[in-house]
Parts: sequence; structure tokens; C-alpha cells
Amino acid sequence: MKLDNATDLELVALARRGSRDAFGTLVSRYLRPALAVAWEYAPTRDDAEDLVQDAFHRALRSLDRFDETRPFRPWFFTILRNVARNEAVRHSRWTSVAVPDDLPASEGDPEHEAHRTGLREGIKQGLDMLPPMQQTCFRLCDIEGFDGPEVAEMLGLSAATVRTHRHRARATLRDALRRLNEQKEA
Amino acid sequence: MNHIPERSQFESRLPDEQAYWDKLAARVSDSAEPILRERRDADAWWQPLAKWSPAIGVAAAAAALLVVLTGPPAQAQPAQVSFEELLSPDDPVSRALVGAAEIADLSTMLLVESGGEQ
Repeated sequence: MKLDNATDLELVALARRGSRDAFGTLVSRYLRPALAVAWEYAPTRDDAEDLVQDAFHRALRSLDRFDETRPFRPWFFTILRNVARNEAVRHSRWTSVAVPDDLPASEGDPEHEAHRTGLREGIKQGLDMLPPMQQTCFRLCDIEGFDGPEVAEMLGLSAATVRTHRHRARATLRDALRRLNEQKEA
Repeated sequence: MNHIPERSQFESRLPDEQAYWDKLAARVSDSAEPILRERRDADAWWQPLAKWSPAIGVAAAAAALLVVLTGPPAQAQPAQVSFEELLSPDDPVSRALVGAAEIADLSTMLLVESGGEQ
């Protein structure tokens, strides 16, 4: 069987019997969204990677308890969030949201660069003002590019709740950017 | 979920390079090897049985057939034994039942059992 085309349930059945290839395929399939979610809890990428690794290991150990009549993705993300919450409690220094400071500077004309810097600054300021869940929904949907229903599964929320958080986040950010523009013009 | 989402107008903090993801996936899989090995070991004990399961199945069916064919013939249904033959001749109830000219009624039998012979 070509594992890339296998369903999650087929991979789970093989991983239950210790197939490294099947487990590796599951890992590759969910690594990116897993890191995105983990990073919402962890302050650094290294910490987020550790969370992801721990979550995959716990999922592998718990495969016998996985209900095959249900989809794998929400089950795995529930494990990931639990792992992340437990770690966040253990490390009180962790915040639920980390704003990227290491955005690469792009080369281009100065005006465009200034605009980008301003935009980035505005988003950063706006993000800081948002409640954590709005920040998370906005970042996962609007920055990382995951779609709403996907993010709902990743965060264990309904699609409508994600939509609401996103809508409110956008409104707040729009206001923040508007204020920033007004300050510059003044 | 195995696709890379389209980039928005903002910049993602997730790495772009495929090499990064491959390396992280390898790290997660490598470190899971002890758990995977446990699973393989747990799965291994019945593998020899599974390998021979068709032969074992055929043998079991043949044995069952053999038992059916060579087993003792079905016992003939014992002839109906009359109620009187089952009773001991020395038993007072038996005597009251069998020896009486007329069919003893229940009260008679109760009296016999309690020692009041007719």
C-alpha cells in the first residue's frame, strides 16, 4: 500500500502494529498544523517542537483507546492541546500567545518597506490588544492560511466560534491600523 | 491537512523550507522508535499462529468431522419404563399404589408415609 494515499484510519491500524512508516506518514501529515497550534501555547519554536513530539508520542501510546469510528484529526489535536495546556501550567512563564519578532525583512523599495514595517507594527500592536483566542484564530486563519473549519478542529471549537473570533479580531486590527495611519498623518 | 496552506498577505512564522519539516518529522519518528518497537513486539506473539491459521483451521474442521463420524452411535431412546417398575416392592407407598385393588388417593399415600398403614 502506498502510504501517502492511505487514509488516516489505515495508517492508525498499521501504526498500532508498530509500523514506523505509517506513523511517520501520520506525523508528516499533521506536523505543520500541530506546530502552529503548539506555538500558540509555547513561547518559542523549540518549545513548540517539544510539545508536538510529546503529543505524537502520547497519541501513539494511546492508539488502542482510539475509536476507529471517529476521525483521527480532532482526536490528535485534543491530545496536543492537553499536552500544551499541561506544559503551560508547568511553565508559568509561558503565555498563550507569542507575536513573531523575527519576521524577515524583505528587500525592496524603501517606501514599500516602510509600508510593510508599518503594517507589521500595526498588526503587532493590534494583536497585542486581542484576547488570546481571537489572536489564535486570526493567526491560524489569516496568517498561517488554515481554513476556518480546519482551525475549528485544531482548536476544538465550532466553526461558528472560530468565525466570530476571527471577525472580531479583524475589526480590532482594522481599528488599530486606522489609528496608526492617523498618527502618521498627524 | 497535508497541504501547505496558501500564504496570506501577512508573514507566517512557520518555516518554509521542506528540509525543516522533514527533519522535524524524522526527529518525532526516531524518538518514537521504542514505543513502536513495543507495539511490534506485542503484535509478534500471534504472528506465527496467524501464519498457520489456514492450516490450523482445516485441521480443526477435519478433527471435528472425524469425531462426528467415528464417535459412538447415538444411543437408542430407552424404552419407556413403567412407573410401577421404578418403585421398590418394599416401599409402603409402592405397595399402596401397586397392590391396592383400587387406585389409592393422595390422602392414603400421605397416611402411609407417616406410618399409618392401611
